[in-house]
Amino acid sequence: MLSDRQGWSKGIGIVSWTLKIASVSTATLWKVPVDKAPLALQDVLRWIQGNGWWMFVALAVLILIIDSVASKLRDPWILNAVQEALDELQQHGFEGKELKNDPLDLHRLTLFRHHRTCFRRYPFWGGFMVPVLRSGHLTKRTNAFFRVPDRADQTEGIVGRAFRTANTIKVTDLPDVGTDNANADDVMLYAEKTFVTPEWVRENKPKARSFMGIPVRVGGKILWILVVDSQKPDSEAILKKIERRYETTARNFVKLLERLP
Amino acid sequence: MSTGNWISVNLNSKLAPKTILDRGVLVSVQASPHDVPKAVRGGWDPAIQRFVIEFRYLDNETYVKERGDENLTLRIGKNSHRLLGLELDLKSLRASTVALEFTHALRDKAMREIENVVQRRENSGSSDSVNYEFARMALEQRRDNLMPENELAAAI
Repeated sequence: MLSDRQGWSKGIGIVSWTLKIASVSTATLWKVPVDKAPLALQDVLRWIQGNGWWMFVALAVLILIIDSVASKLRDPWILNAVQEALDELQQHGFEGKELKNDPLDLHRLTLFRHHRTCFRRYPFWGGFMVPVLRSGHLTKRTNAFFRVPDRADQTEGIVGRAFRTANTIKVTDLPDVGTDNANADDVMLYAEKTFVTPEWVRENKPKARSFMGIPVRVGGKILWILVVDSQKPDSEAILKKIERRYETTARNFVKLLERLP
Repeated sequence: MSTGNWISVNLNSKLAPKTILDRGVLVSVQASPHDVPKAVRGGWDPAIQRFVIEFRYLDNETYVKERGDENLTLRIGKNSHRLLGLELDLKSLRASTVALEFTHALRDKAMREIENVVQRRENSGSSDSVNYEFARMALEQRRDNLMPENELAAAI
């Protein structure tokens, strides 16, 4: 799944408040005389009063960590605004006459962010591009976590090449490998042209036939890559159109990304 | 600082994709839109007593100064190493220039320095040299609007 920051933000907020209530309760119960408490609570009180000191330390550390994570996930309106910008780019690019009957999920925009670690891949370290947001409301599920180590020739995917070379990368006219009986030569060609392994292609059966990766600088740093993928193989004109539109809206887009951790 | 208004530049026609061989695969690559200046401006900055030319990109970035030569300082992007601006020491330049040719000399100086930087970046194999090419093109496109003679005369 793409990172659902709003959901995480809410969940972490609930955990944080639960821990805070637990720590206040611990403090209150610390000095309650055990023998005066109801029988059912006496064992719990004894345990709290015997282990109270480290519980306090543990709760304090947990609250600090969770609050710090929560602060990074706040401002869901920024994510909503970025999502709207992606949706607008998608609609603008694929609104042409011959495309107007296509479902929009055939042509998508995905925003990837650079992370040093990723627990969806092993080894977990070495640099990754992780999908954060995707245009539209469908096809949000993805296994697209690409490695971007320091060596450019070892990067994976169009997103990896765009990240390491800092160039806009376009690949069109890819063969159809989205079915179970895809031709072995096509799988090999697809893998070569998109900088992934043939195994990855066979496993994921990607349906996209064209890609464009645009490196997005925020404060001069490339931390984000905008990837456009389309099931239309000859989509050069569409990719160009999206690129031009991106240029006209990018200053606002970058302002939003500046506020994300 | 006191600089003029931003003057937009359109270098889209120069943004032609190149087909390169990458790991044995032909790939279409072109400069990221973030590496192409979208606007330029020039003006006298009394605080530092320099004529400043600035390039605007899709994102904002802080800069570090790098000495070009005795009359010129470059503003280089702290993270991206893009060319964000030029600071020209008019007084020093004027001392070595005939008055009537001053404006031309100044423009030529800026252009020449960018050329030198492009050359240096290219020679060092730096991947950001393409940005300097675009900065040079932006300056060429708007050179007449950037350094109006009356402002230069007032500045010195």
